[in-house]
Amino acid sequence: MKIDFEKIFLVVLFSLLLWAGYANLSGQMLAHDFPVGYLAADAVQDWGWAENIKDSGNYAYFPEYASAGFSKVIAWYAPVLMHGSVLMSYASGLEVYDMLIFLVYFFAALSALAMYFLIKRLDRNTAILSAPLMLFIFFRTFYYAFLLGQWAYVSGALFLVASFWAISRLELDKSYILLAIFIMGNIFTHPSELVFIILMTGIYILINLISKNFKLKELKSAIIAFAISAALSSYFFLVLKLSAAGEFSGVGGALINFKPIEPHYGYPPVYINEFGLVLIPIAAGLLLSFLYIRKKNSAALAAGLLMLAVGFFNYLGGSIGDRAFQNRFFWPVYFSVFFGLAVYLGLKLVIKEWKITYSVAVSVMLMIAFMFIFYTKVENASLVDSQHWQAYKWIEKNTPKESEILFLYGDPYSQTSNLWFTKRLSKLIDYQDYAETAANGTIKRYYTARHVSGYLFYRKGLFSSGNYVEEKGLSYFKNETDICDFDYYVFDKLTAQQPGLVQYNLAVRDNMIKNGMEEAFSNQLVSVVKNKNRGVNCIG
Amino acid sequence: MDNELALKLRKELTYLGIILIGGIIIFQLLFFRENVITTARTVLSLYWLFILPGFAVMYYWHDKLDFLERLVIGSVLGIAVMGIASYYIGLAGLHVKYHLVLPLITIGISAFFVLEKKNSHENSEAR
Repeated sequence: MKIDFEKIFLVVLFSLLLWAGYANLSGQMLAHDFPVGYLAADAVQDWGWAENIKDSGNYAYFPEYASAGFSKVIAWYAPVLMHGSVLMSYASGLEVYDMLIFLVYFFAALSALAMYFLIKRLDRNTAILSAPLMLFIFFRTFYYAFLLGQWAYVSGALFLVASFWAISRLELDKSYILLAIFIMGNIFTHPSELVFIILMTGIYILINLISKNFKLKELKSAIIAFAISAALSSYFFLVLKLSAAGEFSGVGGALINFKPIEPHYGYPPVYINEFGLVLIPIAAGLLLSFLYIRKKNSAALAAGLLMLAVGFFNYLGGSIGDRAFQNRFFWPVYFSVFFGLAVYLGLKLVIKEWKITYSVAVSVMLMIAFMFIFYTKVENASLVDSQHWQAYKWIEKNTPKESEILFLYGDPYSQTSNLWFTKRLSKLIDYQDYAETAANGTIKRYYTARHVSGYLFYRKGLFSSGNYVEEKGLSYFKNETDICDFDYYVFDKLTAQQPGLVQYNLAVRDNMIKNGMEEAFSNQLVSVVKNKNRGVNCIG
Repeated sequence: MDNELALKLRKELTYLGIILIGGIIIFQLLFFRENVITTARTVLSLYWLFILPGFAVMYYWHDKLDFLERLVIGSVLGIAVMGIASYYIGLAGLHVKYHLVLPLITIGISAFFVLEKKNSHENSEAR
């Protein structure tokens, strides 16, 4: 029996990516008692929106508890990821929070395999030798895309790579179906990358024209694909126009304005030197790519060059440059073709009769070496712990849906979306005001507090929308708040960061209980207090 | 369905079965603290929701793309198709909990087009 080393290799690559990513982070478990691997507010937001699909049955609106109490706030964020995780939750019986994060890592591993098949169009040995670089998505700063909740971006990258693959396959009969579906996948997940699909299509056709491989049929297929995807996405484009387009209209609204963009999305910027010495073969492959770009089926090289340029679009400024830093997170996948090409051509200089098995062996050795040198295991980490989760779920299951909650000081609430876990309209005490009052040794009835909400666009008509944030003003969301005007209060009892504030928490809680409230839930970390006379003086 | 297509389909369904079992084993090794039932349910869910419908759509190009490429690219395609269809059908009023039937519809439609392609190919050859 002939052993197919390539297939075994792909299984190893896929397994290694899942192991380095989600298996370790999740503590080698698929089902958890509380969300594991959620390390940023962005990730919790994604959970809130996906969970609401399960609760409401569709993705028309964001939940009121995540919208400062406003109803019918337009939902627009990454429907494919959200619906995918809800469907997985129903099918598997696991929680949405487990399936959401699992899918993100599954998508990343799938992106690597899709890139492999794109590179394979150029050369099979190059594809196999490209794989080790793909592991970098879980190394160094690249890994922050996952850890800091850039999950829609990661999911969008899958469809971007698949779109590149489909562009490289435009010669297929009815190839427009494939390209149209991948373009739509991108639009419905992270639409900002649509620009790069358009650019890639143009570059691919231009290269074919220069190298005299151009076929009118392929151009027609590409045009049909964009037309189909535009038609079938038209409703969602309207949703975006009424919502996200207002939020992300770009810097100054211009596509390019030549004012370099500074990193500003709340994650550490990726720089090209993150590759360390591995940058040498990448650079060599980059230079070699100019020799091979005119070769037939060189779409992987064109994609690598495009995404290199995209990573530096920050110097162009405007809305096209605004996402440059984000796209660098997937450089390991996009640049893998350069790495593979350099290693393959380098090895072929030494061994003329190169075989696939050699490529597999070298690639596996490089993967092991990279894991030893660059990989730092992130294990079983989360913003949420079992005690807080118990409190959140107690509130969700034991309080009326219209209850309003006030969160006093707690270490986890600096990642503010944590408040959504209760599925109740909540406000968070302003830590600065709280700390100043605590320092005075007084307890008062009015503190600054704020709603934790996402985007607040709502429909005014078929083609018009309003934005509650603009209309109400920021003071609506963060203001002097009567702390006696809530139904429940969440007090943290332990802290790793602010012992003084937690002591103050307990003093406020005791005072409230002395004035007629009662503790409704308690565990080692959290105390939930019920207000039996909402609006009545509770401080004494 | 002619013998050639039926034989190929049977062979590839066997591959899919082997990959399913292999997938459950690999997932169990990666997530070794998880119980086998949960692991199997997760892999089966991936199969049902994304991999099978995507593979079915990709079967239209079975003579141009090899099995593994169709499987991988088809999985990406399945994710897009299921996600987008579920989004629109949800907005149309059907609760998302009923959307688990979508893969069956996708597989049915794909089978229709594969047979349609085969028939038109045979007709053009007969002419």
